[in-house]
Order: sequence, then structure tokens, then C-alpha cells
Amino acid sequence: MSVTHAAPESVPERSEPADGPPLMDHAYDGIREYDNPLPGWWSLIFIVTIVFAVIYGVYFHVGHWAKTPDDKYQAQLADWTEKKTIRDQAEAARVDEAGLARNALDVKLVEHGAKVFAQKCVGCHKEDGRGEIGPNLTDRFQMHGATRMDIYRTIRGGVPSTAMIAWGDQLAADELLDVAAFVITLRGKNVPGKAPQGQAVGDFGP
Amino acid sequence: MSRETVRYDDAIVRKFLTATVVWGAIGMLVGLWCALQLAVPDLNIGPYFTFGRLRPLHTNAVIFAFAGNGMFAAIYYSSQRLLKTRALPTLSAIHFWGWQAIIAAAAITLPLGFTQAKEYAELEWPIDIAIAVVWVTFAVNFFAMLRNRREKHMYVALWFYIATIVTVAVLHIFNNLAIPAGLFKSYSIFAGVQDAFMQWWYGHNAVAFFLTTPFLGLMYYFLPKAAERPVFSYRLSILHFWSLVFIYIWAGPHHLHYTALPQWASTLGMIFSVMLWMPSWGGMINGLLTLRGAWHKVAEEPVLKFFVVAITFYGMSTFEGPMLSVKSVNALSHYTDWNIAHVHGGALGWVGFMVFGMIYWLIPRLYQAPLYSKKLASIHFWVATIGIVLYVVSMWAAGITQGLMWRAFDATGRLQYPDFLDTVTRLIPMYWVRALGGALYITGVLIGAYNIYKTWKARPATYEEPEIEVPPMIREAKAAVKQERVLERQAQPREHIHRRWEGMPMVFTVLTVVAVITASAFEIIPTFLIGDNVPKIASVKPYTPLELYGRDIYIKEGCYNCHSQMVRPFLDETVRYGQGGVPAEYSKPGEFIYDHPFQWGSKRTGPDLAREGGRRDELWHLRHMEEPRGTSPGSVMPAYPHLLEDRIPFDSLQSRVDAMAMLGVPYGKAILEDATVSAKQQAGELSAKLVTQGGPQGMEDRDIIALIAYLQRLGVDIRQAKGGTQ
Ligand code: HEC
Ligand code: HEC
Repeated sequence: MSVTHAAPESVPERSEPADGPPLMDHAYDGIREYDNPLPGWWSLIFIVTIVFAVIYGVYFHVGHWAKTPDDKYQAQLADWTEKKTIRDQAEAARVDEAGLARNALDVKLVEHGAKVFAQKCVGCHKEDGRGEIGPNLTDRFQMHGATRMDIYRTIRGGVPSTAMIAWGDQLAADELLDVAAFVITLRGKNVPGKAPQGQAVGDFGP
Repeated sequence: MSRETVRYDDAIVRKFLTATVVWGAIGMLVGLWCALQLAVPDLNIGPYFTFGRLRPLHTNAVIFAFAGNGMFAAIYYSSQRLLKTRALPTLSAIHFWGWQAIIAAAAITLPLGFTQAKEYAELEWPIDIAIAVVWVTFAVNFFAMLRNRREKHMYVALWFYIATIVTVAVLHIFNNLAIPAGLFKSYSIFAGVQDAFMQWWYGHNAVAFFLTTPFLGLMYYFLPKAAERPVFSYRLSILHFWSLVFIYIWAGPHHLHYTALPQWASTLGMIFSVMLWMPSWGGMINGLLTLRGAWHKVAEEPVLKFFVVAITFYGMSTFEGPMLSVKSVNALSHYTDWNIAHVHGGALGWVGFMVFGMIYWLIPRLYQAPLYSKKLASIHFWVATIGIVLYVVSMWAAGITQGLMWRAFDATGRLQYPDFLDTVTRLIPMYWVRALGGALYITGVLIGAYNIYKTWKARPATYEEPEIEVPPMIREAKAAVKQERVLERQAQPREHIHRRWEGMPMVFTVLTVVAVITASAFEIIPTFLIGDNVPKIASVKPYTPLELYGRDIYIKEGCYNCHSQMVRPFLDETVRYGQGGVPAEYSKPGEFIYDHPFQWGSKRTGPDLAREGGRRDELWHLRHMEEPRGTSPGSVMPAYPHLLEDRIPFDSLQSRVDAMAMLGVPYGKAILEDATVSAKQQAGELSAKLVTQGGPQGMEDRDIIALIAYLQRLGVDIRQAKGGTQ
């Protein structure tokens, strides 16, 4: 086997122009290094980030001059709660038993409600409302109340600790009204499905 | 002085190189599979190959198998030459085969669901011990090379290797401290806030010291070699090395902004990340400016093309990182796919392209045959580059879309996308583009593998192992050198201090350790001191034995890969995760004191679950786990029908409870004496409830009951503290 001299593969020296940057006087396996200074912009930005870090730390944690995330959150929450109260009142003002009865006769609204139902409700109540996880909506029984308004309220407010969530947070006001209208039309269709739950309520009155 | 010779061990480099390519291809293919699962959930093949089990396999494979083996190849090749000494063959062999055995063990145990559920530290305790042993073997081998060196001073590449070796050891050991509760089951000794802190101290520094420093070392050796140019600036090397090592360590808490972590820690994470920008760019500058005067070569040399793009991605990622750690940006980006874009810019661009650049430079030298096809190497480069761009851009788009959809309110204060599912289905097209990008990248890798194979085929019958003439070992030449030094010192000014350290590996190593430990201690010690002061919440009680086992299922299935359990103090989150129109409490540190390990998660492919208890009924959960698309059309969550079949191992509950008790979880006497009674009773009650809801009979001994028990517990305790909101 041949004995070779430690033959560096990089031979930079030869190609160095005389007026180039100074080379360090060491080499490792043929690798050389220039003795270039640090780029000015590099040092400058580094110093700026350090200054920023100090100021930020002092501002937030020594002086406590800024609002904490909790302060900000509580302010947002108060603002939101106010908005929600206004929204709840506005929605409540729009809906009553007679209005729901009228809506349930309006083909257009019911069709829209059916669409919402197909998107959001069929996972538990099935396509035709025969029920599975949720109760059968087509029989003449009702778990929560008896009136159309009770249906609307259950949909809007949900039933705590059950799979029936409060759809008032999920659906826009119109969607809520129309899906209620659709559910009202289901009463008495008696699609075979989940056994009746709740109290017998018969058909809706006028 | 007599001349001596040495032969470098290149066989070990060839081995590590083969392992890099083989595991790399496998790890990336698993990644592609995961990517496709998010677009086509039917690709979840239960129970072993669901997203929650495969994603850790992907991350561990590409980090520890691909990047790991690649780093070892680089270190063995370059260190031997920089130190003019041979690695110890026995230790090299133990290192190689031990590491491959660990990878194989990971590939088997992760799909089986043996996991600690801490990201990139999923492997269970027996494998962790093996990792520690093999890593120490590697360290001994490396430090033996330093001891036997025949070159007085250490080149900058070696500084980075030293930092890697010592820091990874420290990180690995501390983050994996756990109490075993079985052969492949353990509980982290840390809980909640402290566990989260340790995990991200580890997680972030795994990025720093496993995916950055070794590859900077690699760059400092292979780039000037390939470009045949001197390194741009020795002074910059010194400054950016020390600033990087010292500052990186602090940055971990930027993974935990706005969580239950104390704010001062979060702030440290942010400001140190910002200060890290220039130290990182120091490496980029030293890389790119080394190419001054060699740019014409970049056009024709695939090796340099890979290096240039790699370093550019390094620069991009190390700008993006500090930006993402600014709290207000993080508020939008956290838990989204933006992080996935960020990490893949670094992984595919920086680490992947450094490795492939190195491989193309090495194989003609290692196989002693010309590269089979330069053209194919160029094709690999272009296909993979397009792949990265598609990947990163699609995930940026996905991340920002998610973040904006989650927080959007309408004028009346209603969430615009209250149904989380809407924010999931919107991303599917972007998941397809991402999968395409990944597929292109892998195509490149396979082209590369073919090129390597063909080059290897043309190798000589036996490899030539030239004897290199070298100076004597430094430690043996000490006496003579000392003499020389005295004379030298009289003749010329003393070497400056750093230059002296470069000649003293032990001093250098100790200084590195001091930098790393000091920085860590500043954050770790206060975090643990406040541990005792985490405001306790009286209503927060330990999990019942059944819930604890349910939590273990959650861990085993890797649900944390898609779900967070951390409601941040943002209105959109408290409203989204509230119930019955009442916003939820945002998460408080006191809620997590019994969470060994913490399960805050890092990504919300699915909704946050911290407030899941009581949100749905038991039957909904059962149906949903059995087939998510039944209850949630368009969901990408895997189906877990096996949970309705598998039986609860009641006889293993006691050891789980006992392990938790050892960690200080206050279980009462009854449960410590017999955890099974309580578990069976709770399971019986729950399954009876299921039946009244119209669910199936006979679930009282099935895993699903335990999981439901756990899910129904989440967030319930703190609601009680508030006097109940319902
Ligand atoms: C996740 C499953 C689920 C979904 C989705 C669901 N429900 Fe329900 N629903 C239930 C359950 C369960 C109940 C019974 C609650 C109880 O136990 O009191 C119920 C009850 C009801 C009731 C009251 C029935 C009665 O007899 O008083 C109405 C009305 C109703 N749902 C309508 C809807 C509408 C409209 C939608 C879609 C916007 C919907 N549900 C979506 C599960 C669901
Ligand atoms: C691939 C990512 C993924 C994995 C893995 C995953 N999930 Fe999900 N999960 C989702 C998505 C997406 C949703 C939202 C759509 C839906 O309801 O299915 C979801 C929804 C849920 C919900 C409903 C939350 C609610 O109230 O709306 C629960 C509970 C849940 N997942 C539990 C789990 C558990 C337990 C595991 C582990 C066994 C798991 N998930 C694993 C993606 C995932």
C-alpha cells in the first residue's frame, strides 16, 4: 500500500490575490480560514436584539408597565358579554309561538331548515329525524316541554351534559329559526326509529 | 522527530452513510403516509398504523435515524482527518450497531403504542437507557480521538461536535426521567407545568443540538472542501459558536406562550429567541461568504447547489423561528400547521440538503469510483427543491388559514366558524399539495439512492486505505512541545485565549458544558421552585384508576399528535371551548399537578380537549371513536373500533396507580389497597349510562369505557371550583 503525504484537497493559498483579506496561519486537513472582521450590520443587529431583549424584559416584568394577558382577556370578555346580551335580546324579540307556527308553513324557510338539519343534526337524529344518539323527532313525544317554543329553546340552548349542544353558539339567528321550523314539521311523521322518549304531547295545536 | 502514519477508518463512514439513506427513505415514506392520512383518513390502518402512532415514528425516524446517522457519518469522516487519528474500531462498531438496534426497536415499539407521549422523546424507558449507553460509547470514541490527536488545535467543526455530544446527553437524560410502571410503560417524574417546561427545554434543544450544531460542524468541514475556498471568518466562527451555544438553551419556553407556564419563563423564551437570530445568521454568513470567488462552481457542481440551498433555508428558518417566538405572532401561529411549515423548512431544506450535499461529495471518495451520474444528482436537487417549496408554502397557507378561522368573530360576538370541523375540511386541498411536495422530495431521495447504488457497484474489488504520514500525537509530544512553546513564547506574542482553548479539548468541553448548564439552570431552578407555589385548586383531584387507564390509552394512541389540552387566555378559545353559551375558564397551572406526563400538545388538527368533559354524552363519544365520520362528517380523525373490542387489563391498574403514588399523587387508602374495585365500579356505572342512552350492552370491561371516563373528566374539576357554570 502506498504511503501518501497528508494531501490536502483544498489548496486555497495559491489562488489568493495578494490584496485579499488576511488568512489565518493555520490549516486543518487543508482547510484555511480568513481573518475577516465581523460584518458591521451583523454586529449592529445583534446589539439591537440584545437591547430590545433588555427593554422588553424590564418593561413587562420589572416595571409591570404593560397589561397582562389576563387584563386584556378580562376586558375582551366584558365587551363580548355585553354583545351577547344584546344578541340574545334581539333574537328573543324575533321569536314567539305564533311566528314559529307560521314559519313551519313557509316552504322556503323549511327547505332552508332542512338543509341546516342535513348538515348539522343528522349525525345524531338521522336524515329523516328517526333518531339514534338523539331522540326520534318524528313521534308525538317530547322530552323537553311541549310547545314549538320549547323546541326552539332546546335547539338554541342545548341540554347540558348531553350530546345535544347549544346550537345558539353555532348557528346564525336565521339558521336557528329555520331548523326549528323544519323540526316542527317532523312531528307526527312517525318514522320508525328510536323508541319514544319523554311525554306524549300529541300534535301541535293551531 | 520521527514520522508516523495512520489509516483512517472509512468503513464506518460507509456504514453510517448507507444507514442514512435507507432509514431516511423509510422515515420520509412514513411521513408521506401520515400526510396522506390527513387527506384520506381511511389510510389509518388500526390499531397499529393510525396517525397518532405513525407520526412519532416518522419524527423519530427522520431525526434520529436519518439526521442521526448522517451526522455520525460526517463526524467520523471529518474528525479523523481534522485530528489526524483513527477512530477506535470496536467502539465505532458498537456505536453503529447499537444505534441501528435502537432505531429498529423504535420502529417496532412505536406502532405497538409504547410511548412516553413527549414529542421526540416518545421512546420508552428501556430504549432510553440503550440510547444513553450508545451515546456514551460514541462520546468515548470521540474524546479518545481528541486525546489521540496529532493536530494541536481543534478546528471549528470540532467545537460544534463537542457541543452536540455533551448537550444531547444532558437533554436526553433529564427529559426522560420517569418511573416505570411495567416493561414498556412509565410515567414522567415531572407533572404539568414542570413537565411541559422540561419537554420543551429538551424539544427545542434537540433542534439546536441534534439538528443544528452537528450540521454546522458538517458545513464547516465539507463546504470549504467542496468549494476549495477558505472559510470566510475565523472571528465570526468564534463569536457565533459561543453565542449560539449559550443563547439557544434559553429559547425552549417559546413553545409554551400563553399556556399555564409562568409568564417570565415565556418572556425569556421569546427574548432569547430574538437574540438568537444573529448568532444563527453568523453560521449562514460564514457558509455563504465562503463561496465568494467560487460561485461559478455552484452552477455546475450539485454538491455546492445542495449546500447553497441548505444554508439559505437555514437562514430562512432561523429568521422565521425568532419571528414565531414573538408572542403576538405566536398567538396566531401556535397549534397551527405554520409550525409544520417551519420545521420542514429546517428539516428538508437545511438538514436534508446538507446531508445530501455531503453524501454526493463523499461517495466518490468512499467508494473510490466516480459518481455514477452528475446529471441524476442535479435532477435530485431540482425535484427535491420544488418539493420543499410546495411543502412549505402549502403549510404556511394552511397554518395562517387555521389561525385566522379559529379567531374570527362576527359583529355580534359569534364565532364565524364555531364548528371546528369547518376549519379542518378547509385545509384538505392544502394537505394534498403538501403530500405532493413530500412525494417529490422522496422521489429525489430515491433518485439519489439509485445514483449511490450505481456508484457503489463500480467500486474497486478492495478499497485502498492509504497510509497517511502524520506528526506525533500531541500528548506524546508534550515534553518536546513544551520546550518549543517556551522558545515560541519568547519569540512571539502569546496566542490569544480562545486559540489556547482550541488546543485544550477538556477545557473547551468544560466551558461548553458550563455555558449550557448555566443557561439551563437559570430557567429550570425557578420553574421547579415555583412548582410548590403553583396555586392549588381545591377541586382538582387525582384521576380515578379507570380515568388514569383511559389517559394511558390517550397516550398510547398518540391523541396528543392532533389534540391540545390547553385553553389560552383568548376570547375565541374560551368561547369555542365553553358550554351552553358560557365561555370556559382558560387553563390554569393548578389543573395539571397530577398530569404525569403533561398532554398540552402542540398542534390542533382536532379541537382542544381541555374542556371536553360534559360537552358530549357517552354514547356520542363511543360512536365517534368507533367511526368519527359517523358523528362528524368530513372529520380526518382515525377510527378506533378496536377500543370497543379490547378489554381493560384490570390487573395492571394497581401498578399504574402505585407508580403515580410514588410520584406523590395523593390516592386514598382504599385505592392504594385495591384500585380494581373502584375501576370496576366506575366502569359499571358508565356502561349502564351508555345503555340508557341507547348504546350497546357489555362495554363495562372495554377500553372505550376507560377512555370515555377520562374524556368526561377533562376540565370538570375547574368548573366545580367556579361553582359550576351549568
Ligand atoms: C351530537 C348528537 C346530536 C346532534 C348533532 C344534535 N342533537 Fe339534538 N339531541 C341530541 C340528544 C342526545 C338529545 C336528547 C337530550 C336529552 O337527553 O335530554 C337531543 C335532543 C334534541 C331535541 C329535543 C327533543 C325533545 O324531545 O325534547 C331537539 C328538538 C333536537 N335535539 C334538535 C336538534 C337539531 C335541530 C340539531 C341540529 C342543529 C340537533 N338536535 C343536533 C343529540 C344531538
Ligand atoms: C389525525 C388527527 C386526530 C387524531 C390522531 C385524533 N383526533 Fe380526535 N379529532 C380530530 C378532528 C379533526 C376532530 C374534529 C372532528 C370530529 O369531531 O371528529 C376530532 C374530534 C375529537 C373529539 C370531539 C371533540 C368535540 O367535542 O368536538 C374528541 C373527544 C376526540 N377527537 C378525541 C380523540 C381521542 C381520544 C383520540 C386518540 C384516541 C383522538 N381524538 C385522535 C383529529 C384527530
